[in-house]
Amino acid sequence: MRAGLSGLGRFSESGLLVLMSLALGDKHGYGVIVDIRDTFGIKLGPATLYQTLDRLEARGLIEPLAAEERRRPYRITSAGEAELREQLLQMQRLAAAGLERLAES
Amino acid sequence: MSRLTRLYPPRWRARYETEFDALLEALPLGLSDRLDIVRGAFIAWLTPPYGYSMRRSRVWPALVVATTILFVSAAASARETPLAAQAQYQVYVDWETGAYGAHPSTYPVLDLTIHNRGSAIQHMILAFDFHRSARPVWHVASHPEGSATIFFRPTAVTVPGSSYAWSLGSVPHSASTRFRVALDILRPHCTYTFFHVYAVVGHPGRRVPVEGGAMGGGCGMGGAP
Repeated sequence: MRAGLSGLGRFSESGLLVLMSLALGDKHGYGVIVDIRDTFGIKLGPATLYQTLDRLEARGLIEPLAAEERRRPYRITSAGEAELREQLLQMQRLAAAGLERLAES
Repeated sequence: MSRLTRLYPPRWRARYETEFDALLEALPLGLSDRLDIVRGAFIAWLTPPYGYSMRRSRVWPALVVATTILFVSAAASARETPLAAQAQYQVYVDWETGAYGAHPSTYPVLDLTIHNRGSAIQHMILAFDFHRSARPVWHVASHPEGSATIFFRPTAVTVPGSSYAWSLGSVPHSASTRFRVALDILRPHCTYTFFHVYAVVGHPGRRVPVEGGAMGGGCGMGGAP
């Protein structure tokens, strides 16, 4: 089993968004959806969110906290933070290389 | 429980039902959300839960072993009496082996097969499953080391002129019946020998949605009524 986001297939993008949302603090499902919508302008479907949470938790990138009534908050783990940092740095390198090529053309 | 949440498999609901319902109640659900939920349910039924690996299970080793045994038994049974062209029923004892997730299982099977002009087959199978953790839905007996099970494959349609048959039936494991789709490769020159590969999806209660196995046949009694 691949441990990072790259093995999540169609859930890699939503996984990145969820990790970025949780990097700002623990949130339950509704909080994650609202945060991603307000911050990135992306609407995450409820099932997509929970399939993503399931996969992130299985990879140890997030962890569930004690339920608050019917809602359960999630927290990014240290492995999740490391993975998020690595993904963002990779995107930064990719963007820099692309912009450099555009400048040269 | 939301009607939409009911679409999800029990193993998924056991983990997420409460919080997922709370989320659905908090969200103004539009058409795209409902489609997302339906699609999510479809994926949840068909996709192995994360962490499950076919390579980690014993499905494939069991298939290899079963296939080897099958060909040995087929070779041994090939000298038996050929299947009578007008045979309408057969009773025989065979075996089935498979891997139910990480647990290989082999058990004898008493099989009543009813032929209908050679184009359709009805199976009534009495299987004695000595798999410890399998919990068949139809118990006819129980034992600490296993249980006996009756299951019924209601349809098996042969392709005319060929030795193949597709069957669709029920699976009596995990306290629930699940559909089983199987391909039987019949050997008409033996009384009835077949290779049976099947897959089961959507196991409740266990994080193993896919099963694999092989079924080998022996030769038995048969004839026209």
